[in-house]
Amino acid sequence: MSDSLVRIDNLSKSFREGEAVRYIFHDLNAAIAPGEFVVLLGRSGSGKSTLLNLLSGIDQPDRGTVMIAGQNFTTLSERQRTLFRRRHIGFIFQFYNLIPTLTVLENLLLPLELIGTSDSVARQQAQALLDEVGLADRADSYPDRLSGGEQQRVAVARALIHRPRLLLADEPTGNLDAETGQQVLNLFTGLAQQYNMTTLMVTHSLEVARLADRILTIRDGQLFEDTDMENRR
Amino acid sequence: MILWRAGLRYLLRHPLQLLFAVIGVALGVGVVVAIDLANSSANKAFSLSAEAVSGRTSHQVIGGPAGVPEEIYRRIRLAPILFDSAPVIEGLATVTHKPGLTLRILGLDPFAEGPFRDYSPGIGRDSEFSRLLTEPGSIMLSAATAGELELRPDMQMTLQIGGKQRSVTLVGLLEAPDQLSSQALRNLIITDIATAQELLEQFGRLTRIDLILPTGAAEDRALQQLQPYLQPGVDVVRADQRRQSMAQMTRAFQLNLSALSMLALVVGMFLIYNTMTFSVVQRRPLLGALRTLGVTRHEIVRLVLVEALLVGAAGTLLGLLLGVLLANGLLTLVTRTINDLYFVLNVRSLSLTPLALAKGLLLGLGATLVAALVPALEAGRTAPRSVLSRSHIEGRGRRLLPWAVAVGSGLMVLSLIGLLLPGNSIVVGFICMFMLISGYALITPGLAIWLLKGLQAPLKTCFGLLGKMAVRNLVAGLSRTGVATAALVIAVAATIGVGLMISSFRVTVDNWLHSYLSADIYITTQGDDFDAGRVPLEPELLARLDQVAGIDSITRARHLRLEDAHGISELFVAEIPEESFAGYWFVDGDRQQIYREFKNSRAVIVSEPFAYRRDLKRGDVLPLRTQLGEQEFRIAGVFTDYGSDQGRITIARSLYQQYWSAPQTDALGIYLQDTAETEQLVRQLRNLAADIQPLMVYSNRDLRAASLATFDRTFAVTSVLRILAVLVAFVGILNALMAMQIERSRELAVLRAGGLTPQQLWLLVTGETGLIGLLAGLLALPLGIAQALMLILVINRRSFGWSMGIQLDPSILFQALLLALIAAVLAGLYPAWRMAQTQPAQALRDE
Repeated sequence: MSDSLVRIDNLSKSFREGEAVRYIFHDLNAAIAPGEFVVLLGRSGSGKSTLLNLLSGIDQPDRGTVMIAGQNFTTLSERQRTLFRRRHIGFIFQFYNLIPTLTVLENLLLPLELIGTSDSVARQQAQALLDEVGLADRADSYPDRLSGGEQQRVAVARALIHRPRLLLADEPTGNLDAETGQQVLNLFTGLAQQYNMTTLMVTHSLEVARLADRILTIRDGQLFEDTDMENRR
Repeated sequence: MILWRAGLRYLLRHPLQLLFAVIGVALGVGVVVAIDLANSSANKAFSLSAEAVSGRTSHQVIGGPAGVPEEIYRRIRLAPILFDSAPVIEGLATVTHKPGLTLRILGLDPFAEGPFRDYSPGIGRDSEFSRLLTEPGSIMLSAATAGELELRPDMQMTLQIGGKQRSVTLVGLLEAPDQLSSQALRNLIITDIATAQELLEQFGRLTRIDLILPTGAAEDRALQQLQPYLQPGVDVVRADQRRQSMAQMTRAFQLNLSALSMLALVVGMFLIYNTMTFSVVQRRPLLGALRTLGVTRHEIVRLVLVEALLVGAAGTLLGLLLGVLLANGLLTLVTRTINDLYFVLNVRSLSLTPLALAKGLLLGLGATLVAALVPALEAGRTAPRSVLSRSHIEGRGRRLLPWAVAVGSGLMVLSLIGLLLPGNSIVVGFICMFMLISGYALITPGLAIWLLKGLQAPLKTCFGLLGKMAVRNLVAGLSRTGVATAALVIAVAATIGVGLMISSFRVTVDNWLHSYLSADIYITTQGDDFDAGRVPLEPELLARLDQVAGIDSITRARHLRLEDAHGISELFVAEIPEESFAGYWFVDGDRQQIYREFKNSRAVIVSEPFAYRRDLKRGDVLPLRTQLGEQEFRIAGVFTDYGSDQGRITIARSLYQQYWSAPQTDALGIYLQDTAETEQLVRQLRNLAADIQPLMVYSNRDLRAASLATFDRTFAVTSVLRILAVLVAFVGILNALMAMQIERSRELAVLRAGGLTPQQLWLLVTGETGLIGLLAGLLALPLGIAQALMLILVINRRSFGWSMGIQLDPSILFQALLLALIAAVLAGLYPAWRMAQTQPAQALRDE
């Protein structure tokens, strides 16, 4: 466990809903090794996205610790978490969340600019990655001119452009048809492997789950590991 | 700078919103800059003309209403005293061939002038000097003034002085040593003392004697040395103190204008605040995505602030331009008011000082930053989640609501406490007013929700589900509607407050004139009421009046000026019959007793502004400089007077005669017999005087109308400010509501996709905006009325000493409601039209 990239210990989270408090999960424990591709399953509302938010440091747990690359997120300030995230974490959403006022190329340049990559190097990297995701000819288009599949390919490229150590994906194919979803998934897993990134992906799709090294499931506020991998394959 | 690009492009993608925000700032800054420029130009013109007239004078010998006897100057001149002195006669004249132009006559002694004024003709300096001394009616002008009057040396012109025509000859042009003096010399006629006395009919008397006394301890010695050469009723005052008290006269008026212009800026600030809040609320998902990518809170705050600054900079630059253009128009109005209320002032051109423009720039950018700070901090707090749910945002808004109401109520209570505290500070008055406005703005969202909930049931009954939906959309979208409604309320209330104040004042003045003007016909000689050197009526005319049939009785009056260390006051010497006295409104005391005191003892009555400025009340003692030395007069009563804010002392003619000299007469009040026909007698009296002297003959009705016309002229500038505030309000309403509806494009597209017809969409959108307009209009009423009360009971009282009745003119309230409603409905038209034109699928895709 000590050589894991992600480690969570006794993680608990709840939300206030008016006067009532709704517990999402209690005392979660898990670890993900470097380069591992882990899928997170669970029903809607089970807390999958909340766990991703806690892992990326954009939300704080009630209790417990989140260690990413040896760094305890729960002891970092909000600013320190932000600076860590911009350098080491990539995020892909179901609804793309591209910046509508930036072109495709600029959407890719933004994470590089945030970590201080020089303009010429950044452009080279962005162009190269766009080429890899097959959108080199759409570099100057704005996101709203792209199809859903194209937008998600841009989102994948944006999440990978700065070579993060951890890639978090929240149902990246949930909004796409089966064929396009498959294309995006292939692209995503291919690139993650190529860059040796640790990936945690939330999905409802068992097809996708079959591609994973490990499957975790959240159920009733607890995290279970699916050990019957062979059967699933 | 990819991040900046994202922000900038957002602004450019919402051009209408951007345009309205820029216009909002521009209007706010424009109004403030315009008033500032107009005020500073008037002040500059005043100080230049004061400088031109007083030169290096340190002290001045001044007298009573009739000025200083010439004999005193002769005595000082011959005395073994080692300081400079120079006689001065001042008066005003108009030029026959240039109507509307008033020139100041300055009669000087060229032998004594050397040390005082650089431009004045001195011995050996100008060849025209001897002509000025020897040729009657000879004058000198600056080259610029001569050019404007199309005069060259040796040409003649006719002046109108106190209703009489006088011919003068230009014997030479004055050379100004520098640019400043050249400006100061504009509209100045320099002439010899004897010519001035002749022109102004002030034989044997001077307006004042200018002195250059040493400073420090030597000053007291010099003043002591002077004493034996003076006489009762003549005093020495410091020249700068006199100048200051003159400048002080217009201070309250100018402060009021500045504060009203600030109101426009406050409304403009709300506009910016609304725009920026809106752009933040609208972009929450985008900001959330940026935060997820690793953009820090500070970077987000900076992004929003820089965006606001860009809007502010564009608006401010446009506002400066607008301000300069507007200032040209306002300058005329401001100068006219100063001329009507205070003293003759000629302002030819706008002085565009870098300071005024820098102030505008700073104010515009500063206001923008302050207004954008809250939305920027709010943006920085955006949680870095993929999409923050609307319910979460609205939930937080709702949790903040009680706090907003509590802080708002606290501010309003503080404002009330501030007003109840003793003191007369105008600035404190305005601070309290701005606290009231801010407090009310904070409680507005709470009030709006409360009212909307009440409207839900009736609207459902009238318009079905669509009506209910309109209300629920507004209630549910508090983060959007709350700020917009508050901004509209502030804007509309400002127009109500100023409108009610003006109309209350006008009605009060009209009622007062009805009561105060009791004679049937008024006759006065020409000239400004209390200006020095007003021409008296010819005795022959008075004799002729005795022969006119139909006249029951005549009262005589004289308008004079009294100057002392406190400044200049008007002294009205009058015969007031008991019936006319009944027309006076007294602040307190029994009228009959006041009359008895006024008539039979050493007592005067003073106007309310006079009593207010000098902190006097009925029964106090007022020392006045008489020809028998300083004498104390009891104040029999304090009367309401809207004729001037400088203050007036009214003294019985017989009493004046005891302490000064026999007064001349320059005004008559004529009471007619019941059978007499007023208009016919007015014509008869005009004919009667035609061959003796030019007179102004007014029937009671005409004089009242003329007085109200002066009132309207005085308040023209305030009315213009009100119209500008209405304009800012209108733009604000359009901006806020249009942005709100455009932002809902997706939601509306969903409704269209769900089967809502374009007509129903029109109804829903304009219904919602109309509802906000109606709500803002209704909520603006109490604030507007409160603002009016503060302006009437606090600001006007503290500024001018006027107390006035409160008139809630329903038409002004209705106009405000209509303004809010029309602007709101108009704001809904464009988004409704746009959505009706767009295919729902397109709208859904665009989002």
